[in-house]
Amino acid sequence: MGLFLGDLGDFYTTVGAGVQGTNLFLGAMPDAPASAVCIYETGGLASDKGMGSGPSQVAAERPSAQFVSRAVDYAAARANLQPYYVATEGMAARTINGTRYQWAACRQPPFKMGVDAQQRQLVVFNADFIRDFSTSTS
Amino acid sequence: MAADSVVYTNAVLLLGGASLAAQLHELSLNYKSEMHDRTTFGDTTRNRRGGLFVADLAGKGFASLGSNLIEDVLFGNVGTTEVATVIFPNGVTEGSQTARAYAMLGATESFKIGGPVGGLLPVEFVVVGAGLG
Repeated sequence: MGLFLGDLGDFYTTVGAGVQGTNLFLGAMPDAPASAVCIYETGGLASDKGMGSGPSQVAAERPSAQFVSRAVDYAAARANLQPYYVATEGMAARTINGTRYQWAACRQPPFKMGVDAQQRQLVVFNADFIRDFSTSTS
Repeated sequence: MAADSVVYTNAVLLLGGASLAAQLHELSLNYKSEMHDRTTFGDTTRNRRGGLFVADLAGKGFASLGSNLIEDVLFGNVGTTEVATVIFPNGVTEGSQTARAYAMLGATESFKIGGPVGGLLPVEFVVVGAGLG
């Protein structure tokens, strides 16, 4: 079992959207390369809970993520994000690193968020996920 | 908060031998008596006397699809009578004489399944006391 961002990194690598450490980063975007995508954990929603004691109460976790694409020009930043958008909207229930992911949905299509300190274009979208509760700590 | 208060997180529902609470997020028991009015002229208050006892329980939860799981048990129980129904409001404490449980023979009156896209599939149900005799 893995943590949420690690699971996402493995999933988007598997579907060919990006390559972790090369043009796909998790949690922190390095200054280079100029063209890159970074996935950040965002606030998410409270878990759905059933009756029970301890972790067994959690029927499902509802994490969320923001996908940020950066490139020198807008068209490239937008195009680089499209495979992530399509894979997220089309994600069927699947098991990633031992955790069952039941659902994924984008809150909106990709849109321009602005530019970074080097005037590189930033395009983003946000997505919600529903997954079985994972007790993994690493 | 008083030491004997209960945060409601660990109810147990046994229905015909199936344990369903892990799929439930709401569960309530309604135990009451019919009240017969015997007020007469000259009384200064409404005058009532207890009658027959009535009980029902209502629950809401997330569907699990499989043999002897919540959808299978509730769907199969609609309209049946005298299914052993037991609720523990705060877990099962073996040997305890203070951790209360409520038991009755129940008949599942209604079962509802379905909701909007993108959430855990919800179920709702009502079980009514089948009575004695």
